[in-house]
Amino acid sequence: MIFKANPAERYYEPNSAKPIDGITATARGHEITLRFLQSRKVVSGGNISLSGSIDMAAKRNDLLCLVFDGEVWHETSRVVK
Amino acid sequence: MPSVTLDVSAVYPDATSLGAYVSWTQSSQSSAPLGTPVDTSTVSSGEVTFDNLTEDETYLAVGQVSGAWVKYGFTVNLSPPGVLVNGVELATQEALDAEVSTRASADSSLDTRTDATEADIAVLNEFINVKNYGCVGDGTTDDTTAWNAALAAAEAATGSGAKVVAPSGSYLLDGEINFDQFVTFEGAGARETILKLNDAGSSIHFNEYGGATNSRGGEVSGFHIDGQNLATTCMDVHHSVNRNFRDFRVSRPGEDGIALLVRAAQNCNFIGFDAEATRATLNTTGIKVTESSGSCRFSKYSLNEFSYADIHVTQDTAGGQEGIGYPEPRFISFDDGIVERGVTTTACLIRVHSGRDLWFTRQVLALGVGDTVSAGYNIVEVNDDGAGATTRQIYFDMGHTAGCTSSAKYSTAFDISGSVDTYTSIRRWQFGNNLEGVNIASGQTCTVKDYNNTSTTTMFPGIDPNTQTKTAANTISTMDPQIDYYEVSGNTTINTLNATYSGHQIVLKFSGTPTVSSSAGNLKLSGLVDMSATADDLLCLVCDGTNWHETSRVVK
Repeated sequence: MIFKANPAERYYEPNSAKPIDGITATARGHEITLRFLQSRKVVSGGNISLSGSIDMAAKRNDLLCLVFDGEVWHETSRVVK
Repeated sequence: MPSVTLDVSAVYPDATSLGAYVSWTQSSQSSAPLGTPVDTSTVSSGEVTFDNLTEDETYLAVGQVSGAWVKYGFTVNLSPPGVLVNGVELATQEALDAEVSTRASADSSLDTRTDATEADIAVLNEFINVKNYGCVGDGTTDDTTAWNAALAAAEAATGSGAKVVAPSGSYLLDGEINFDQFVTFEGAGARETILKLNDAGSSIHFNEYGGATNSRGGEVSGFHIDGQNLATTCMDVHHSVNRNFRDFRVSRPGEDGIALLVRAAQNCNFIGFDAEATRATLNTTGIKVTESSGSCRFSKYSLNEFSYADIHVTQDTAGGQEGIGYPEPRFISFDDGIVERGVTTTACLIRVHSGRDLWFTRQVLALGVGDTVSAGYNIVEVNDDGAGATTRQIYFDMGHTAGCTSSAKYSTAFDISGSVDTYTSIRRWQFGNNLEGVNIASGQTCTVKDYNNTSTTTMFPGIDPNTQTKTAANTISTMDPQIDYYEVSGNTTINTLNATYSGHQIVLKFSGTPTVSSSAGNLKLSGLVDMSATADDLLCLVCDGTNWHETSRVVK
């Protein structure tokens, strides 16, 4: 599913188990943090570029930080609990 | 024997002669006075002269009105009370009484006063009713001369606080009227006291030219200035200092006209007002602030349908005005405004052409649903007018730029351009139904933070305000404290980034293959080991005020 990001928001708590394979475009330089409330897969591909181009299998309370360059959301860091 | 001349035209309009008595009685109201007058004299041109009175005695003047003997009269006291009114010494009691009668309001008990005192005059000096100076207020009689007479009386009365009052009515003005220093004005309300300007040259001025005699102080409230699509300038605030304008309305300036012109004014507040134009073809402006005005506030206003600009801030005159010290308007606050239009033109709602430190907060800037503006229409335009002044430090905080509809989008919400850097900042802003959000021209610094876009097609058609591109170099010295995201090209080793502020967090995204050195400059990377970046790698840093510390990195 495509995760919807808002240019005015920087912090999200996704509460769904459906895999994220895209994030809506916002503004270049926009940084966001996702804190997952349940296990969820984030797919590296499409407009999401994760470290090592490897999908992330997020668990509850894991964090994923991303920055948007105008086309692609790039991972900047992650914390796995 | 002293001689006394009295103006009796108001009291005895048709008397042919009067008698002066020490005392008098009548057997009935229609009977002639009993007793013998001290003096009798003929009334000529409304005046009568008694020649046979004794100084410091009290007399009564008695005469007939329409054939009947009246029961009231003058008290003639030759010892002058010596009350100074409007620069004229009122030497006699009847002069005092007459002054009170003339200047009193509709209170009939004052009309026949025979015992007016200096205190009465003092009270009247505080409230000067324009209708007591000949204003008719019927919407058809020219009241210009009477208005200026009332204002002249107010200025002369005390020099420090006379209040002019204008009851409900429509006052037609074929010329200019001038509120000068210290005069306070109170109308009956923005829908009650209407000043109708009857030609292009008619105007209401709040001014006093020249240096130390600037128009200072004075509250002004409760009126409506109607330019009737004729007046070039409806309300002109010029060289005013420390004035407060409240609860007023200005409407319908004429061709190329201005509803509210503020020039070379300082420390003035305009609170609770609205301005409106009605004809799209007249090229009108709602508020124009110019000629080095400073430290002024506009608050709680609504502006509607002006066809050149609803708000226009500009230097206007090369070199500015005397005595202020800088050429362009500065330190001006526009707060809590609703600006709307429903006419088809190529106007702007806000034009900033020169000015410094201008704040626009809590603004609703809306085009009407039916507006059919063409592409390129700017809701807000920040520019410079090339008159020698500059435009910089312009702040927009909390507002909404609304285009027409989601299916008919033509407008650019903000157009930031000009030949000099304007340093514009936009915060907490809603962009709705615009064709373009913020169009930033080359050479301009503009930051846009905390915004929301509901249906704007392209947010940043020009420079993207949220990113900067850098070329890798040993030292990158142009780090911007307002920018958090940098795209770095090139392969040169990076040793140093100029520090910004403690706590500033940034992301560097590389497109080349530079080495980021952790030993030669102020970059403190993980393990103090250099990073050999490749394309699409990211390095995140935080500044401690001197050095940049790695917080994370992502290597692709």
